[in-house]
Amino acid sequence: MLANTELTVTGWIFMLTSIGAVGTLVFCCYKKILTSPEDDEPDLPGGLGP
Amino acid sequence: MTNQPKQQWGSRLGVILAVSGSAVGLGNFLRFPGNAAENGGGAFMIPYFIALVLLGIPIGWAEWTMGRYGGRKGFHGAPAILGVFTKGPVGRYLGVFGVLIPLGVYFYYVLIETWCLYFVIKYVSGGIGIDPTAPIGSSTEVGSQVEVTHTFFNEITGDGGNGILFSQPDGGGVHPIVWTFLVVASINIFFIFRGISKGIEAVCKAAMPIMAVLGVIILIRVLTLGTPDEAKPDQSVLNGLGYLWNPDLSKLTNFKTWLAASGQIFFSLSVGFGVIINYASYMKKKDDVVLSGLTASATNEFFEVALGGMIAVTASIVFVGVAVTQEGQGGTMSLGFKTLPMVFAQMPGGNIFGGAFFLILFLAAITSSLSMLQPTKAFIEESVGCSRVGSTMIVTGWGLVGNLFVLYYSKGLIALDTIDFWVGTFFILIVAGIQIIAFGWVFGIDKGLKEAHEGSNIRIPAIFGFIMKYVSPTFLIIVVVGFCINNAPGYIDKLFGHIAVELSDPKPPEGIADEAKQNWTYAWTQSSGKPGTLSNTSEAAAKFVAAPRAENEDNYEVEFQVVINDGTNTRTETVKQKIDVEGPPDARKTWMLLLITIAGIALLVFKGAKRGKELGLDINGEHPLND
Repeated sequence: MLANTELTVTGWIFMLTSIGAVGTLVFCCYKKILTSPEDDEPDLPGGLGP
Repeated sequence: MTNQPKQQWGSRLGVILAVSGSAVGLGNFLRFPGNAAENGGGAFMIPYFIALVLLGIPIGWAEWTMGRYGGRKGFHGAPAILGVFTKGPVGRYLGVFGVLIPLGVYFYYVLIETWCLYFVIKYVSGGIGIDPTAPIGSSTEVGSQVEVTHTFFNEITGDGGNGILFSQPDGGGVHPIVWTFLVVASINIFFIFRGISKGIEAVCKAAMPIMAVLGVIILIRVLTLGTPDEAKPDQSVLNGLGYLWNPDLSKLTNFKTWLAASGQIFFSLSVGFGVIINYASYMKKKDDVVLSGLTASATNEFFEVALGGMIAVTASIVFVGVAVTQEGQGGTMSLGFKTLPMVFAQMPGGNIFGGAFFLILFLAAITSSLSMLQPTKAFIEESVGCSRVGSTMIVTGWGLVGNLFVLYYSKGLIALDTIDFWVGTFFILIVAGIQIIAFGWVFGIDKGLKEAHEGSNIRIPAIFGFIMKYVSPTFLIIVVVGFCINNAPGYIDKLFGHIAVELSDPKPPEGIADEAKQNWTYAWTQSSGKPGTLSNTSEAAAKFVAAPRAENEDNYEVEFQVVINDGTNTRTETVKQKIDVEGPPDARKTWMLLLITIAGIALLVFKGAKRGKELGLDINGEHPLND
C-alpha cells in the first residue's frame, strides 16, 4: 500500500480489472443458471436423514 | 429411518443463494479491504485470484460433489459423508471437526450478529453518541471520537469483565445487548425450525438481494463523497481508493502477502466449514453441482471485491484519515465496530447510512449463522433418529449454552477469540485438507470428477483433475504450515500462560517503503512495570514475554522505550503494553467447552454409525451407488 496518494493509473487498472473480472464471472454464471433447464425428476427417498 | 418427508431445496437458485449467504459475512465487507490495503493494495489481487483458482474453487467443487453423493446414500452430516468417502471410521471420526466448526463458530458468531443489530437499533434511534465536532483523538483522550467509540464497543461486548453484561457495575442490571441477543437467537431458532426450504432458503432469497441493493446504494454514496473537508485535501474519495488499490508490487515477494491472500479466499468462501457438504446433500441426484459451486463462489467474490473492496476503507480514509484507518484495519471488528461509527458520525445522513450498513452486516451474519446450525441439526437427526422438533431443540439448546458461555466470559473477548482462532480458522484448514485428500486420493480423482459431472451444466476443465489431486493439497499444506508458524505460537502461549507480545514502532512515519527501513537501527529497553523477558531488542519488532502470573494477579501495564536511528536522525519513542494475565485461565475454560463439545459429537458419531449399520446403510462407502 502506498501511503495516502491519489488513485494512480495502475491503481485504476487493478481496481477495474478486479471488479470487472468478478462482475463478468457472476453475470455469466447467473445467465447460465437462469437459462439452463432445471432437473425436475423426482428423487429417490432418503436414508437416515430428515 | 424417521417417518419425516425428505427435505430438499425448493430451487437451484435457492441452494446457490443459501451457500452464497453462508459465505458472505462480515469478512467480505471488513476483513477483505483491510487485508488488501495491508498487503500490497491492488497487487494483493494477484495472489488472491491465484488462490481462488487453485484453492477455493477446486475444494468447493469437491465439497459440493461429496455432499450430493453422500445425500444420495442417505447421509447429511459431515462425519457420515466423510466416512463414505474415506471408506471407514477414520474419516468418520475426523468428520467430528466438520460438525464442530459450524457449531463452535455459532457459539460466538451470534454475538457478533447481535452487535450488528444493536448498532442498527442505535442508528435508527439517533446514533451511538459520537460528537462529530469533537477531535478524532485517541482511546485515552476523554471525549474524543475514538474514546467514545471504543468505550461504546467495550460496553456492548462486556470487555471490562466476565459476567459484566449480566450485572452492570453501576447497578444497572442486565445490559440491553443481552435482550438483543435473545431476539437474535430466537430469530435463528425460528428459521432453523422451519427447515431447509421454508427457513434457510426463504431467508437467503430475501436477504441476498436486499444486501446487494443496500450495498450498491451505500457504494454510490461513498463514491460521490468527493472531498468533504476542503481543509483536508488528502481525505478524498480518490485518495481512499488509492490507499486500497494502488499496487505495491514489492509485496509480492513477501510470503506473508501470499498467506494473507490464500487465507482470505479460504475463509471467505466457507470451504471446509462443514456447511456446503451438508447443503449439497439435500440436492437431487441430477442437480448440477459444478455451475452451482462456481456461481456461489462468484457471488461471494462479487460482494467481497466489488462492494467490500470499495466501501469501508474508502469511507474511512475520507472522514478519519490514514492514521485512524490503519489502526482499525488490523481486524474485522476494529474497522467495523470502532472506526466506521466515527465515519458515519461525520457523514451527511450518517445515521441512515450507518443503519443501512449495519443492516447489511446483520443480514450477512444471519444468513451465515443459520447455515451453522443446520449441519449439526442434520447430524443429530441421523445419529439418533429423532424428529425435526427434537433435533432443533437439541441443537439450539447446545448453541445457546455456547452463546451464554461466550457472553459471560467476555473479558478481553478471550473466549470469542480462542474459539475463532482454533475452530473458526485452524480446524477449517484441517477439514478442507481432509476433504480434498478424500476426494482426490481415497475416492479417486477420476471417479470424483465423473460424479461431479452428473447432471452438470458445465464441465470442469480437465486441468482441474491435476489441480485437485496435486496442486490444491500442496498449496493447502503450505498455507497450513505458514499459518501455524505465524499464528499458533501466540495462541499456545496464551493458553498456557506465557504471555508474549510483539512490540513495534508506535509512530511509524508515513510514505517510507519497508526496504528503506532495512538499515535503521533499534534499541529496546523496558522502562517500567513488572519485569519480564525482552528479546530481539535490536530488531524493529521486539518480543516481550511476561513473567508467570502470580496467584490472583490482575492485568497490568508495562512500558518500553525504543531508540530508532534512521541513519541521520535519532528519535526515542515510548510504548505502553497491557499484559493480560487473566486471559489464559479463560482460554483454558473455553477449551474445556470445546473438548466437551468434541466428545459429545464423537459420541453421536459412534451412535450414528451403529444406527446406520442396523439400518443396512453403506456407512463405509463399500458399495457403488445404485442408480
